[in-house]
Amino acid sequence: MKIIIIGAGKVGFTLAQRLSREKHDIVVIEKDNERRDIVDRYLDVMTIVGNGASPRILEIAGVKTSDLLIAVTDLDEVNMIACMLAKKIGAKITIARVRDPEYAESQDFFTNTIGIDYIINPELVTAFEISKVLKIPAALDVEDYANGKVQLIEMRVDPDSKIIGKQLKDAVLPPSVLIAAILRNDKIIIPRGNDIINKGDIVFLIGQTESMEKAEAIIGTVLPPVKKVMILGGGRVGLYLAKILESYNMDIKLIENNLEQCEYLASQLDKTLVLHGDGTDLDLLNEESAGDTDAFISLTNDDKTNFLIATLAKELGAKKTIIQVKRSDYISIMERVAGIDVCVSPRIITAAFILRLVRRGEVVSVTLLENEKAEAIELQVKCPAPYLDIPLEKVNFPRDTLIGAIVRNEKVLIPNGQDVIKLGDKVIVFALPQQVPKIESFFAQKAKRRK
Amino acid sequence: MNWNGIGNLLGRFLIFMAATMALPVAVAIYFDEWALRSFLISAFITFFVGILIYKTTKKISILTFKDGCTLVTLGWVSASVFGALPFHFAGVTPSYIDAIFETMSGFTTTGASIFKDVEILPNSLLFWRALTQWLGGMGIIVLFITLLPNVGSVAMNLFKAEVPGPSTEKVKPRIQGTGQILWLIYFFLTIIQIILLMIFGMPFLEAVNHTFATLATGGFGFKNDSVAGYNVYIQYTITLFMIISGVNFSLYYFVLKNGIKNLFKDAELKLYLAIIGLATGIVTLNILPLRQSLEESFRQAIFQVGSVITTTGFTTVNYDVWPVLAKFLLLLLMFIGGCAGSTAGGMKVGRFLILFKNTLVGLKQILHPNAVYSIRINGKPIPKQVVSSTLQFFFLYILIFVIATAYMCFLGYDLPEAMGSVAATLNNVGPSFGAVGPVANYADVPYSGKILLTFLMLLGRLELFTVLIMFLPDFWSIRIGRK
Repeated sequence: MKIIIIGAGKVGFTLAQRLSREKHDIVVIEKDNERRDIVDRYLDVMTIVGNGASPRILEIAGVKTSDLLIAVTDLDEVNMIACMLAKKIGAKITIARVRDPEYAESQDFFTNTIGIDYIINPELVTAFEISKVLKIPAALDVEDYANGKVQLIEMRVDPDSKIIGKQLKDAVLPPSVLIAAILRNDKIIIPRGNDIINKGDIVFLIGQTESMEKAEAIIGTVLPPVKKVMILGGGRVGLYLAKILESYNMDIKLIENNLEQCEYLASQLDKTLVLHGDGTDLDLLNEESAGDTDAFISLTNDDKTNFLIATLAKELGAKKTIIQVKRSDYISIMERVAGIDVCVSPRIITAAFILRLVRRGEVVSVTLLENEKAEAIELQVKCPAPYLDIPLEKVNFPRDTLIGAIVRNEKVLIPNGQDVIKLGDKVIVFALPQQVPKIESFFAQKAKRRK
Repeated sequence: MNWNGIGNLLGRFLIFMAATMALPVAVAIYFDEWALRSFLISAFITFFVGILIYKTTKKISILTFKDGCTLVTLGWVSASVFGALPFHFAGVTPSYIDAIFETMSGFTTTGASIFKDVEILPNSLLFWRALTQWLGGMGIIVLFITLLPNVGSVAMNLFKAEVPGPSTEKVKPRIQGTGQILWLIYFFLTIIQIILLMIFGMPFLEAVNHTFATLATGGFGFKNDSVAGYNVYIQYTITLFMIISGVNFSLYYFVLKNGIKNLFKDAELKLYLAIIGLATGIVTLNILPLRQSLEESFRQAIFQVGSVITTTGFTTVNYDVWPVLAKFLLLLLMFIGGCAGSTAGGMKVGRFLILFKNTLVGLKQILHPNAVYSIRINGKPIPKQVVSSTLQFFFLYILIFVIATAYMCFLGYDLPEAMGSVAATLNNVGPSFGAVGPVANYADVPYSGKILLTFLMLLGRLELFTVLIMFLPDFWSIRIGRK
């Protein structure tokens, strides 16, 4: 696929990196020379210095024959104009990152009239991801597949869980739930039947949504539903998150240190208690009982502040801590060493969201898990292929992959070696990132050969 | 101060006033009444003074808000001074001050009268009384600027000065357009009520008079016993239209534009209707022992409640004999008044809504000292300045009420009468309790008291600030200081 990426910021860089690794042809357009040099040095992509919203530059980049254009510069307007032009010139699909809620609200207009196929609002997507985690308190991450019929949950194994020390094949789990991966010492293991769960492991469970609750109770620590939430930082993510959580009827306190922004927040939110003050002020946190919250979410622009305050809130007694991290390199250390429950990086979330859109065709959706250490891919089998109707244990799958679930006629099947994949099935595959192209070619190429 | 511009507009306003006198002239000719002569003389004097001021001043195109306040205040005072001439020349009032009291009471839609017997007055004078209310109801200056060609930015400051309200909403991009819409709705409602009253058996002229007094929430009656002598249907019709007049008129515009479904989402309207419902319920139960049937109690309760909260001042019963609770409720309702943007007086339901929410926030702030709250009405945040000016308004209102009450006590009235007379004029209600109650009138109030009450009517109608800024020394010294 030929892909043009405009803007080599954090998100643009991540996307270029991921997509070039997956053997796509990438052209990056970047205004800033220095930034362009960095891209040139680290990535095997073509780079052009210039304004991505200029028709001339777009022509040079070959937009006429491109399959996809992704505009992720800092400026909403540039992104939108670039997509509009690209669509007119001949790009097949265009994706624009748009931050301003004013624009994002009129998504239908942009899609139908202007021709921007997808508008992605990173802050909204981030807020949405956080809200999903809050809905299932024991989970560190939650993903939905096949219209919500299949769920993937990441959770910490409770120290007293009966499952510890047992081989997976002996572990008592509901029949429609599977342990798809284990995160141990910052490494993902795709387990086999004789692998053993250790203390301190984090596991990825995949299964039928209705059965997940039972499985959670067996493996994880049972927590009451999240009711009291404190959010630090009333930027766009904070505002979106508070709005989403209000619809779940949670008690929300939102701390913001800019008075003017506080007033704006108060005028936008109905039930949220907006507090004006410095989130690093211990007295304020005590007075508003930060320790008594079910979840403490720190979303300031400063990673260090988020980390520090969340650690403090945990110390005071907050049951769950979630922070926003801009520099994703630190995520694993924060989660592993410092005990922050969930770190979210808007950059990774945005990149993952865009990747999901890129992998159209057989692939329905893609999720990056645990800071890009693993991926879950949802595929639809659309054409006849040689691997169909053969028991899975006899199919020669790429290494380090696992068929997590099969959805057939709206029913969820957690497969074992005797099950088969049939035409029209939706398959959720769990894999390490380096295996992703192999999986894609496995599902795509063989289908082609038959044509 | 821009005296040229103010004078020029004031001159034209007086010419407009003279023109409005043509209507009672027509009535006088039709009924062949002796009052015709007094109307003609009054119209001539008004016209002459108007043209004199107009010719000696120069037209300007810019008017500041300060000038607007001055012009509105002067406009209202001169409307009363010149509008009082027909009464004076007809010789039906004991003095010119009484005539001014009566006219101010008309224009400000108060409905307090100094006539002991209105039934002996000629039709044309009664019609003039009702017409002053109808003109004053929607704002006489607004009507004036609506009719005036090419007023431009001048109009906006005049509109703001005459229709202060806690939140003035423009329904059209231009003030003139807004004024036209509001007056059109007003006119349309007037026609409907006249037709309804005539269907229920009221003669034409009486129907016109009562409609004018109802929609303007004025309350000047055609009969000595106000509306008590009319049939049940007429009483219910008037009740309904009083309540309709107490609603923000721009809401009716939005109903015409967007349909009825959003009407009852308006927070102020909901509160207004809830207050009427609650007060009617309590009063009905409270006066039930005095009355034979539930229907009669209910009818009298809702009529009196509707009349007082919209500050109309019509009566169907001598509520002076009601239990204390019912009377106290009526006194409270006088202060609450109708919705902002209606023809009603009082402090306005919208202001109480803001005050209530602000107080609630104050209480919550004690629990969470760092919390930031936004006071919202219909989802729209109310700016801090509006909250603060509402508080200032409330304080000033109460202060004026207390001082004026003290003066009325000094004149020898007992406390309920003194409080009642001030409440009834400041809130533009009209009848009150005791010596100035529903079966009595203001004829016997000493002249100093009448002058005070006349001033209160003006203060109440223009919602204090427009008039009161003229009493600040700064208002006058700026001009002297700069030149």
